[in-house]
Amino acid sequence: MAAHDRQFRDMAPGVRTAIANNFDGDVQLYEAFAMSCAEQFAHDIAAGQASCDAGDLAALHRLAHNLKSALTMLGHDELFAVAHTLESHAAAGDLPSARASWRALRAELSLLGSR
Amino acid sequence: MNLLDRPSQTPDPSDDCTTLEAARLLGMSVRSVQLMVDRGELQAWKTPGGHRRIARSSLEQLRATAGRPFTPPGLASAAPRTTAPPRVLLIDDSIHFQKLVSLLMRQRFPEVELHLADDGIAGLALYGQLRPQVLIVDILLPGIDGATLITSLRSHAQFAHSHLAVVTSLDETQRAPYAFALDQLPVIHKPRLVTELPELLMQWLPERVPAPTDAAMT
Repeated sequence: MAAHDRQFRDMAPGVRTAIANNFDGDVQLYEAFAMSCAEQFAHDIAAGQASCDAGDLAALHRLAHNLKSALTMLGHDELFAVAHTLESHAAAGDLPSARASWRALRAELSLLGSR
Repeated sequence: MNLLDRPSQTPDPSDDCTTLEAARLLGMSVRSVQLMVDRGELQAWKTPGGHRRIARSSLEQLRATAGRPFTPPGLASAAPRTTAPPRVLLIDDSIHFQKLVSLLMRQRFPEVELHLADDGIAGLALYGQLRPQVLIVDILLPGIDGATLITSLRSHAQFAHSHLAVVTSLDETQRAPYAFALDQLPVIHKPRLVTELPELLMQWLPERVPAPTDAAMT
């Protein structure tokens, strides 16, 4: 069995589905994208925290929207849901709820970025 | 490889930039910047992890001597080319998707020069400068939104030579308010980008883009 086949077999089911559906089965491209996302998450966390501290709901909305796309591409459906909640709260102008959602998303992104 | 040794003193991070940042500053693809580093046209060094770090002074010198529009010196000094590499301009504020498209292009369309813009205003300026064969625009952008940008561009005759594709994470219902701008345009839902964008580029750049090989696809 080739190395990338073993690698694919060991991945979470959601990730395998994402690779099949979103990456044409290209494990290497998925891995390269996942690595670039992990690097970018650190910047996203910093930007999101700054927006949260400033009460900038428009910036939080834009960040959540962009994170949603990346997370669904990666097959991280639970994090996608957290980002979606943040996006909804930001769109509704609900700053306290947006801040709570941001804290949840920030914690998950930190874990993902450190893997 | 024509890279400098890592500076003996701890470098000031503000003196250097990443390849991606250099590509943005120069309005070039990351690959083009990497090649310029390898040819010794930009001063750079490598981190222990193998990442290129480019001296900002070197970038400034290059920009000052090249003027606008920017011409990579490697191209200027090389044998005359009969055709310029095809240019694709992506306007998308998502760094994640900028990176995904960069990875995809490097893997499957290495001959193409990919240029990136973070917002509609920068995108319009770059479009006028580059006149790319292909323009890829996200709908939701800071500043000028993608739909307004598309409508504006399509009203100009000089835009006729460019192919335009729209990328979005919005589903069909969410896209409805932008339908006025999307008429007769290919719209790629972002989760389908890896599948659908290469198909479009193969149609639009048939003479300049080699068909993907098995090796390139694995």
